[in-house]
Amino acid sequence: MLITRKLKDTIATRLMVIITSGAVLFFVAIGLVLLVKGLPVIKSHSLTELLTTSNWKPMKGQFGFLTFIVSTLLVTLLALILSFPLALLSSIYLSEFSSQKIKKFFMPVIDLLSGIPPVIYGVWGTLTLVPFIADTLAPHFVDFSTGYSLLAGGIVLAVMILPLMISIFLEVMESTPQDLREASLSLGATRWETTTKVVLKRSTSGILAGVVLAISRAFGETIAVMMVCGNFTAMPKSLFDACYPLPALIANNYGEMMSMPDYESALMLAGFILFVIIIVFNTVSWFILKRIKRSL
Amino acid sequence: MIKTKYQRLTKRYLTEQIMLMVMRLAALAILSVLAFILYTIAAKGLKSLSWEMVSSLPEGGYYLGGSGGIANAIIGSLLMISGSAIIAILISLPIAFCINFILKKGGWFGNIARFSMDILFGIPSIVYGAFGFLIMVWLGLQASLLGGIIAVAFLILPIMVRAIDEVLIMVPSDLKESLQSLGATRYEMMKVILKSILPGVGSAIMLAIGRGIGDAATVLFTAGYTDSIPTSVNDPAATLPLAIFFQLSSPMEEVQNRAYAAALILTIIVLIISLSTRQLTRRIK
Amino acid sequence: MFTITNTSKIEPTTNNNETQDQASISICNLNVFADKHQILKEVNLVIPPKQVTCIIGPSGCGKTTLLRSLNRLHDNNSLFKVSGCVKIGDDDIYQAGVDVPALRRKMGLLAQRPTVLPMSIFENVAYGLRIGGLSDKTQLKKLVEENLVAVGLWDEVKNRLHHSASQLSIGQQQRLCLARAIAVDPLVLLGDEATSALDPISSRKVEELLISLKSRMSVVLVTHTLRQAKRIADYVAFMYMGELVEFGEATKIFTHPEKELTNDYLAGSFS
Repeated sequence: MLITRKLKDTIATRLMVIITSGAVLFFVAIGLVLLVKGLPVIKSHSLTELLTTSNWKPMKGQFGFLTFIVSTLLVTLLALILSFPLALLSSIYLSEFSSQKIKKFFMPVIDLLSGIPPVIYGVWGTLTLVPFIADTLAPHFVDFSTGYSLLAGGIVLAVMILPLMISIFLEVMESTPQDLREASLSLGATRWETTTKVVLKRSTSGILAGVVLAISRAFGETIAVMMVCGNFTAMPKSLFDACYPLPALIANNYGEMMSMPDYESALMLAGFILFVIIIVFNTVSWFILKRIKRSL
Repeated sequence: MIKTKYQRLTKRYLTEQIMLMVMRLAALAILSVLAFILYTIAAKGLKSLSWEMVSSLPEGGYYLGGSGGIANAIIGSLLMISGSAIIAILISLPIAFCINFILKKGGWFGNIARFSMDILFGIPSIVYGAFGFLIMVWLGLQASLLGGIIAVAFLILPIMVRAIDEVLIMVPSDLKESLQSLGATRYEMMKVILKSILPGVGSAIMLAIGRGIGDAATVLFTAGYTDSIPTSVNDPAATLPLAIFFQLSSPMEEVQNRAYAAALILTIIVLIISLSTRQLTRRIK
Repeated sequence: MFTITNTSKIEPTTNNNETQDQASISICNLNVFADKHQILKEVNLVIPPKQVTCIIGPSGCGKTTLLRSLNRLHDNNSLFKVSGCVKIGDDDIYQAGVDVPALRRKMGLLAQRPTVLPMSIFENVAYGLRIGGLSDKTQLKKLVEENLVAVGLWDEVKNRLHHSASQLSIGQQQRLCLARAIAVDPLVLLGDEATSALDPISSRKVEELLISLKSRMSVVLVTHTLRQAKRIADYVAFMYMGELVEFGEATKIFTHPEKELTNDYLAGSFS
């Protein structure tokens, strides 16, 4: 009896360790597979050529990623500029100023925002932002815009990374001990002074981690951005021009590239670049957040 | 002298009041964006939503404005997420329990496991889709329900592990210790603990389902698209996100309107899942 | 019949005002509710100026709640409701229009655990002064040094004033917090079991400092160690279940308490 129990225990625990190890290896495997698949194009074209030129003519064997990389960076930057102030201000409000009641009402709102699928954000963008930009906003600045633009992509992405940032900012700010706030208040500081000089000062690294995480989420977002950004292979010259981020490139061309090995390889390389950037960003924020948790 | 100091003070209060107003506006803006999104989807979707949309398959000429519905996509999505959820639970439960109860607390392997899960969580769905597709090619599979199930399982696995991990961290160590002092093996102990955290596991599953059912990028290359309901896992399967995506890119207004209706259906499903997850989590706490 | 409610009296520049300086704090009919639970019941108490007053009583009796209602720290918690009055001299701090930050500045707080702010040692002490509008560097330096000297920390930290304050030992941190609190020259120093997290030696140091502060300000200390109260208190308030049972001079309370409950508590029948 005891022996079978022990045996069961041993088998079960061993199996669990194996599965866990498998999951860890899985993440290495994704990187390796993408890299191996991306190697041929690095061999036939140099990496510098791939990353620094913007000629994208797969049929002629030209694979310059620059347009896509710049598009990804621009659309992410725009999203961040739009959403960071909103996220920070509302997090401060919820963490330091609002009543418990308002907070209880607001948390599901953030949940819902993070739960809405990307494709729905895309639909919303095409229905509202695109026509608004094309008909109302763009004519003031440029001769012509379809509305499918860097700006539309940036706005959609901004809304999508809001809940992620808010939830991390909130977690970090709320980890400030109440004692510290009271110490500052007792010295005659107003609540706003306490917020900026104590709470925010203490939360700087955590806020940074949240931003980094949001950036990496923005880099990888595919469908929603693709639905509103125009997907046109040319360097965007204004906010109202179409852009073409890396994930959209992969999504748009994946099915049809099977006949050309270099084309497939180039898209896999794009996937690998995305993968590496995101891992680096995630790792950075992981360590920052872990340090904060440990110091509690 | 007294007066200047007093004025300084009013300036400080004014700053606080102004910032408070700005912060309220920011919060209000976020609220309005959510309301705006839901309103847009509801207003557009309700116009073309009908029983036929939900209950029937696309008929001949559907994509040119012919009659029919998107039951294929609804059922496809449900089948796919059920399959992925089952696979993901079977893998994520052992991982979460392993991290919490078998590996040493704060040990290197546990740390690496948690770290990997957090990184996997951050990997975009398009990468999972591409990777899933490569695996399928390697295994000689066609774009099919099975392919979609595997790719979505990749996507939701880390979500589940993290959510279950969060529940397990809160299990009081008293319970663990008292079980062990009764002579339970680790396996027996974990069985008891699993029973006590079932609601938490439930909410973790719901969270993952909510994320998985709406994701388009993972199924774009792996699941294919078809007008019929798949009869085996090797058949291609339609999904709701792709139904929206494809119909929206049609030039026909009729078809576009159906995309809005499909978007409304997906939104409702996700909202229900999201709200009930919240209820479940609240009850646990 | 037009009276000016003079709220400007509670304002940071009045600390040189002689009459204010000698003012006692009178608490009348103070009730505090947390949600529906009543924590303080009809507390009436006059805290004499420039003395050490200890509030004693079993845990959960409302000592800390009473202390925190003296500088309106309950304001930020919407669950707390306060009624009754707390007066500094003749000014009710709970009346409408009170400048709360300025009020809190007059009621310094020393918490149970050291609460060093996330900045350097120097900036910790300078924090309250800067908030009060002092920006002159030489003046700041002078005041920081004075107050660090006053808590006996100057020699220990003078060479690392610009290092992070969290590197100090717990005992040093608590003295730093004390320096920070007295730097803004409060009328009253409120201590909430201010020595309970410290080792015996640091604890004794802080006690001595509190006694020495009597010449500058009133000290109100919540404590759960009777021996500490015996060592430093001039006046003692004994609380039980949210009510003030007895208040009086320390020597009298400790030798001839009027109430039986006080006697039982002092005798160690319950704690």
